[in-house]
Amino acid sequence: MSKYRNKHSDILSPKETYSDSITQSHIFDILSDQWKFEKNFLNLSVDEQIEIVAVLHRIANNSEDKRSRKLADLAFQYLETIHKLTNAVYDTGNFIELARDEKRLIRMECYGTINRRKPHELSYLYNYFKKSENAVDAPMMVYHQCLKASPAWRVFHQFESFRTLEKDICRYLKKSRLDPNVLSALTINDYCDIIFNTYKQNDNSLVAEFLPAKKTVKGRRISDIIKYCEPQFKQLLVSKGNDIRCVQSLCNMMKRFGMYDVDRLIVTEINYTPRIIDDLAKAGYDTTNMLPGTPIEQEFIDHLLDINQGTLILARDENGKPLDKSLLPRLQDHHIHSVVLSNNLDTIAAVNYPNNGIEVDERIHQHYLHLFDCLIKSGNIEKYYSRLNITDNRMRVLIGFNAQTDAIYFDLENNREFKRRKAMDRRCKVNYFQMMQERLCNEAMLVETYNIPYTKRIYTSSSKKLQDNKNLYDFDTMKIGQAMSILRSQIKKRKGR
Amino acid sequence: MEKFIDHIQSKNFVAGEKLEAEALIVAQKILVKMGLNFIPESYIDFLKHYNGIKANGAYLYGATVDNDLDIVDQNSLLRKPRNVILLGHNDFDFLAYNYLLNCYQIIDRNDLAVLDTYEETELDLALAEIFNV
Repeated sequence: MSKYRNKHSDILSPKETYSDSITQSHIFDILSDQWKFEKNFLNLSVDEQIEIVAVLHRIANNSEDKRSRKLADLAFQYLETIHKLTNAVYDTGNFIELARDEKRLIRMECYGTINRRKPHELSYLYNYFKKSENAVDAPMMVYHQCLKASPAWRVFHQFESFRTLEKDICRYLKKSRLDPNVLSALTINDYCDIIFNTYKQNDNSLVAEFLPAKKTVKGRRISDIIKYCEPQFKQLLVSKGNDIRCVQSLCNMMKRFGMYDVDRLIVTEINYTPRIIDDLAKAGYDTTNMLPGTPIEQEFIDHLLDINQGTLILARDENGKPLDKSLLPRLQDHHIHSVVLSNNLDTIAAVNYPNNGIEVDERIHQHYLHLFDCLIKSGNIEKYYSRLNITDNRMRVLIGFNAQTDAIYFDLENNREFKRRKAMDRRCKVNYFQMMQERLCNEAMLVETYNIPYTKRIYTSSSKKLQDNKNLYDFDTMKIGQAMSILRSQIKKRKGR
Repeated sequence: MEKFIDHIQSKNFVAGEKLEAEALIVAQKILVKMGLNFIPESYIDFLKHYNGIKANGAYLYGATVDNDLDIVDQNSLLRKPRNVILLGHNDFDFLAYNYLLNCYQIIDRNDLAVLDTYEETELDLALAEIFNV
């Protein structure tokens, strides 16, 4: 029998019910003692705590008859206790939905990458002006002015990371001789294509990195945690039973690369050992100044890791085997204020602010913090959400259910540089749909000026988003009407030819 | 899919053990038993190269004993829309195959809204969108 078949040998057995779950002895013990619930819960491992949370959640959502309603009330109380322990509150309210383009921009900024767009996603005008017969030569300054005035670019311009790309983009636009007048009518996808082409490595690239990993929102947050909270982070992990060498290596990875990928982590020794000195000597290093028990210089560790020789200083246990790093937390990035609710924030860029992210143990992230997520969209207007929100936005790390002992707190926004950025973000704030309305008007003006023929399909794809949302936002219906009639007339012209 | 394979050649990631025919059959059986559907052919072609990969919070699943990468475990644990098989995830999104529409979808993990749709022939682009390390 293969290992995989063995792993799933019991999966075909019938699923247990929630009443089966609560009669499992260890869960029953915890739930039956109401007065000691908090203490007993905190004494469990994270996996067991997750199991309890899952059972409680199932009971709380299963209250058809009177008996189960009583149980559900009790489960709610227990869950409330757990939320208090993690410094979280169950939050509900209304929200304004984000446009798909805005969601994509948040992701791109967070990762510092942009994906190749499919050809059919690019606008007709962009493709029309990209043709060599429509190319023009224009000064850089004109590109800068046109880019800053472009409605679609102003949506990008709300985010700090995209603002830093403007010079490179203008250079690319000039090189590709795109008519600067068309920038006013380009779509978000067109700009994605421009950024992709500006930063792609070669013609076969699928993804272009416009920021190095360490400079991205996620990377900066991870390296900042170590920059400001390294002693607390080390102490926290050591208190959970981790070997200091594992902790030190993880901190080094976070500091240098802005990532915490335990699977790829090479755990190195902190001090020289006779075995390491021997290995280094065999590899041709001068070991005369290396004495057993003395610290290995960090620069030397980094150098060996960079040249793929990290195994020479690999940390080993008393049996000579590589250290077990399974106790190290597998962290994930959690947004305190949800991305889908970011229209409720002061500016959309705020969703990627340093204090809006926590690095959470992945089990707690997936099976607790997001267990209570619920979004209800009724019709085009009513949007309702429920969610578990961390109340303290200074929380930077959470690796257990006790926010007192399993968390690290630090305010990453209490500095002058961030305050300047925040003020700039406020000045750059725009309404997506208003920008798209402006873009459509610009498109109409452009096709009229250049007398560009349209088809019904192009007209439809160009105006679809606005037509879908015209009831939701405060549009200048006359302006849109005029723009659409101009675009429609371009179809007639084509037919007349 | 060759483009994606080339794209990740230079990346540092962890992969599941080599795909075994029996493991693939077991995974397909369980997915169908769960009320889902078969893994799409084009994705199986990818699994023949890499039976699940993970790096820095991005995952593409396979028929592997690694719990993080096991397509069966992930489809039974994670909240997902109907009529899809989850094939991967990152901090924000799922990669899923919609077996009613026969296409790959990028789905927002928060509100389960479809953000992007890719034809079977565009698997490269879909994989790159999720595995953006």
